[in-house]
Amino acid sequence: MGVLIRSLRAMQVMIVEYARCPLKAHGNSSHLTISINKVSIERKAYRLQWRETLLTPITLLYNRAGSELGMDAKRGFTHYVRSRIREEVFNAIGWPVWLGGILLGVVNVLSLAWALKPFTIFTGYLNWGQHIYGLVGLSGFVGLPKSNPLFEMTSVGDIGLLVGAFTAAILSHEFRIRKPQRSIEYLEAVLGGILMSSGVVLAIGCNWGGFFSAITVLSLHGFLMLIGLIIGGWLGLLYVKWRAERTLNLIEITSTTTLGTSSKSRSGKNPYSALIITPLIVLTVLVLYYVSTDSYIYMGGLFIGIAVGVILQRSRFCFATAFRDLINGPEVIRSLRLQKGIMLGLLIGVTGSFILKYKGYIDPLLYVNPSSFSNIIGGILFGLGMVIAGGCASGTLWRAAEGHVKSWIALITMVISYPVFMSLIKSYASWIYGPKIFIPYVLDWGLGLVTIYVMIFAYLTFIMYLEYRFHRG
Amino acid sequence: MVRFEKIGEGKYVLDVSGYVCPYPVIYTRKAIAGLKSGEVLEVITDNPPSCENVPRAANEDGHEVMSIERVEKGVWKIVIRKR
Repeated sequence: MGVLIRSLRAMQVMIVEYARCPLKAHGNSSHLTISINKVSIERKAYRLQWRETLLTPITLLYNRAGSELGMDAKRGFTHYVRSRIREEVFNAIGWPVWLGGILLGVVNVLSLAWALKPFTIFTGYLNWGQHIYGLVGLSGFVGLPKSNPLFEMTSVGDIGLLVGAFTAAILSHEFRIRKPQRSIEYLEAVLGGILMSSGVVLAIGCNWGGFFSAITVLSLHGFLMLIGLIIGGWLGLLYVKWRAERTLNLIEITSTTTLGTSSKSRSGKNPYSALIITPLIVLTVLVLYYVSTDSYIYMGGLFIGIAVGVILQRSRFCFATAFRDLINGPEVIRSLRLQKGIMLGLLIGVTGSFILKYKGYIDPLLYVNPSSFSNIIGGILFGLGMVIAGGCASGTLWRAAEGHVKSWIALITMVISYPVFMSLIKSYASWIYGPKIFIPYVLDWGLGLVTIYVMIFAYLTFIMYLEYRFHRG
Repeated sequence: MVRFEKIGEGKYVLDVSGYVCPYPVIYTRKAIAGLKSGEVLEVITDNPPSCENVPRAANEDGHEVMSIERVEKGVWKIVIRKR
């Protein structure tokens, strides 16, 4: 045991020593100043090729590693494990996006196998919305909910996502109530939420049910929404650029007085650290409730949601950024990286779902939805809406859990508007929606799978081309 | 309203807290454009992904990212020197 502890201590020393090494940001600078514990050290930098763009933020992580591990000889093994988890899992740089994509693909397959549905989001909003309308006596218009929110798989998944993202945000010190600086952002949240709801009705699913999970279950409608999302995201970029231009005059050097930025730098007590209790209580109550009602299937759904929430929050998996900045956006590298993450998740999901469906573990036509022009139009509306609202269906949920007030407004708007759109579309459904196209039934199983792989790789090639074009300048 | 102020000789602060992607990056670029070479900009953000995106954008434009610090739970300060 002593040897183990000693070797762990040696590792600590190495980590902290490593943190003291200057890291090179991939600019032209040969020196990079890193402030460690408010002391700036400048040393000759050396190049570390791996995790190129994470290099700069990594200093942040190791700054903390130094102070939290603290070389405190009195701290025991539990403390060590806790700080290691904090560094590796709930650190300041987040997980790489490719890891997020892979994990999302895996969780989606698990969800298919366990809950007989891929991970989706909006059906939960429908359920919540119908309950809200029911409370004010308007059920006649939007219809009665199928069951209570704790016994509707999608709603359970959404609750899980909120709990998971909330927990992850608190553990990584990223939770904070964030109010928009300008009231126009609330208007954007409402407008974006309405656009997303209408898009979901036309595309028969959000960025999950209509795209990510749709391709996962080998349905054509996912690829159609992808086309729409690319166009919608690009329209969103035009809006963002237009808005940024309009606020150009706001950015002026107005005063030369030294204003209290120092008040910002008060370190110390986190008013939110006690909040970690909240998700724990919610989780305990829900688990006890499911156990007492023997509903293990929903309990599993809850944990799938929690996993998705943690993955999304930790890898900052933002579909809005992915589609907004694809073509010459301000965060184009992040966007391309996200796209590659999404495609990795799809490759895994498609493979897993193919196995489950081919072997007959689940109904092949499960979650296969109609494909027609409406999916593309829905994708455009949804893509534009998610950029304006600052988050897609899942992005709104995990940002809401992180404390973004704008996302709360967007979430409420979607919950309220979606049931209305759903009941409005009913009478037109027959001529808006196309036939359900399950790719393996059209092309045979083997050829169908190969075709989907080819489509994903074709899209990846497109992403690679955009990346090449960006680097070439 | 984005707060962009001079806080000292050749030192500016841009407070984009409350803004989510991509505005922190866009405003940072705009603020840097208004600076002279060698001047320093401190970007205050409470949007976690911006801690990655803002430094990367600054690097792409050839500026020097001097430090990223957490000044408070959920709030970060990114210090950039214009080239």
